[in-house]
Amino acid sequence: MTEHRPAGAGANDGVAIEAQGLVKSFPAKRGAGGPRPRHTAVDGVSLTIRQGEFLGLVGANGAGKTTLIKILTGILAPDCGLARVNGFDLATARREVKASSTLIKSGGWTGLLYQTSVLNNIRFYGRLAGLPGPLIERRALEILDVLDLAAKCGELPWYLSAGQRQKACLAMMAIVITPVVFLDEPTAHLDPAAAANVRRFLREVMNRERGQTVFMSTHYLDEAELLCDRVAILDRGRVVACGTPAKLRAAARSGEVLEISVERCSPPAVEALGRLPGVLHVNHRVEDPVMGRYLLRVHARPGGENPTPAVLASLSSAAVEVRWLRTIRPTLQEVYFELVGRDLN
Amino acid sequence: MTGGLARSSLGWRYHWRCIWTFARRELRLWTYFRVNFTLDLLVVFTNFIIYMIIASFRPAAPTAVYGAGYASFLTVGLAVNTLMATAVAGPYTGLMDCWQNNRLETLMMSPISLPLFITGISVGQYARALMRLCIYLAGGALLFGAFADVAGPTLARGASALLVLGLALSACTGLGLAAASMVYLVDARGGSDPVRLVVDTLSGIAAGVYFPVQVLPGWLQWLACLVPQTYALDALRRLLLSPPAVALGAPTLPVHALAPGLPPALLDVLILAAYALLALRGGLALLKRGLDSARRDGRLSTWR
Repeated sequence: MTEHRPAGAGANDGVAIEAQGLVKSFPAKRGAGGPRPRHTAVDGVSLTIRQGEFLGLVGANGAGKTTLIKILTGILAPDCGLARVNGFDLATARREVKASSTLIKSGGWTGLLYQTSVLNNIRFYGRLAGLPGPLIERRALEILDVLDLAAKCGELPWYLSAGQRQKACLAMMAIVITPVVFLDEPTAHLDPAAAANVRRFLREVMNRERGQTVFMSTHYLDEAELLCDRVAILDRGRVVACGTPAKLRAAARSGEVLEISVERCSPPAVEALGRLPGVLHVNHRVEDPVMGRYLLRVHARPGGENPTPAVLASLSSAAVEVRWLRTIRPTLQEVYFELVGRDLN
Repeated sequence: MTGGLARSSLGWRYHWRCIWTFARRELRLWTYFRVNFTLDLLVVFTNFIIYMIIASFRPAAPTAVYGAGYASFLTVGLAVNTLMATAVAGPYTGLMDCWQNNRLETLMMSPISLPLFITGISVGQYARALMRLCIYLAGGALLFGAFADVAGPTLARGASALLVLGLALSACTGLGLAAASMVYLVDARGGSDPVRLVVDTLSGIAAGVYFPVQVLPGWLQWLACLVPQTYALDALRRLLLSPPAVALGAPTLPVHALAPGLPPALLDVLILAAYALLALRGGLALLKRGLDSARRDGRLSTWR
């Protein structure tokens, strides 16, 4: 299905992307004298992604996601380590790696020329890829249609909203079908409907219909859980966990999770919950600071007694009003919190 | 379906299609704001008029060696120099434009090769330079009587002039690649670079764009021999302006004295050919080295 499969790809044993011990550091800001310190953005990353797989790389801002993608696309050279994309070694066959992969970035203009229409931007990239004109026209209209952007194909990008521009950029890069696609936070800046539209395109068209291997960085755990066959969690340049969402959830240390919506809550009341026996940890989100409305997630210790009565008693003694309470399975959010020690979103 | 590596074997048709694609895009960019496009044309025209008016107050310059008057001499100088200056500036300016407008990564991830990429991002500037060239030639001929004193070149001389122009543009492109490499090699990301500074200064003062090289002090004449513009302008004026005997005859550059057995125009062509070969290879090697260094330290596509 993919058209840009350079001759020679095949010695990859079903592996689309392989990284071994990748390290990348940058000089940090100059201090007062002494040697210039270095900041390690990617620290010994090893990953293997099978052909046709959809892998999500999850991490906070600054975790090293974009740096890793830039290394794997040949834009950055690693300090050490090996990487192969579509069977080609990045150190010796960068041109073949480039021909095997597409990079789709998020935000800003990201490659669009703003004085010409969306359709012309797509045509431009298609022509550089050597695609015949009729194929470019047909495919461009198909992609724009799926992305719900067909009505805007004649518009100049600077008259589009940020989300529409991001979709236009996705359409431009998706005109060429390469075996591997790297996506750097593809749904950042999109409203929920547009994000859902883009996710459907990535999963249904790129991954399933075209058979492209997708390597997507995101800081939305729900998105990773929804789309990805496997999820790798990156923290401070290291992969701290990698597996299917179900496997990662199963490996979570916490037992069931109580989700409680409360009013008239305060930080001391939340801290008190964390000290209860049977509670592993509590994380919370302030929904309305004036009303003291919090959303609490109380993680029970696995194998321990049900903490619900103690939690309710503690909240009651702190004069906190419980609006509703439910028990949920641990999500990737909980897994991430356990592994990294802080919330992602 | 076209295979990824098969693109390189698509040959000239693919390459021309890419260059045409870039050219169309650049033309659209250039002409998008109509007022600015018109002003661009007016600025070139008024600058040319200013050059020619200043030239009319000049002390008599010894242009007779080329067998033509000063208007023809200056018109050829300005017209050819605008193309060569574009070849020197094109790669740097194109690279910086892509970088600042966040298009560099997209183009670098596109399947085109590095030489095609550089040609593509420079092609718009050549379009502008061709426009300037037309204005200079037409303005010189219609308003200042340039070429009125010159017999039209023969077919052989015209072909030779095209060869010289091709070699000159190749040599200048080599210098342009070296200039573009400075973006990464010496972190020259502010709009100017040391290579263009040296080349533009030497070509502006000494290469013979505005006045013949012979009027300069001896040491400056030798410095003029460091830039390809000097040889290109000398050879082109001999081929386009001079009667045949003059074209082959009097030496005008210090290097001509080093090989007295060779006609000066032929020596110019040989030096230009060697310059083009060395400058292109050296410039490309420097640019690749710069890109590799930027790949290592993370400056390739970000303002680090």
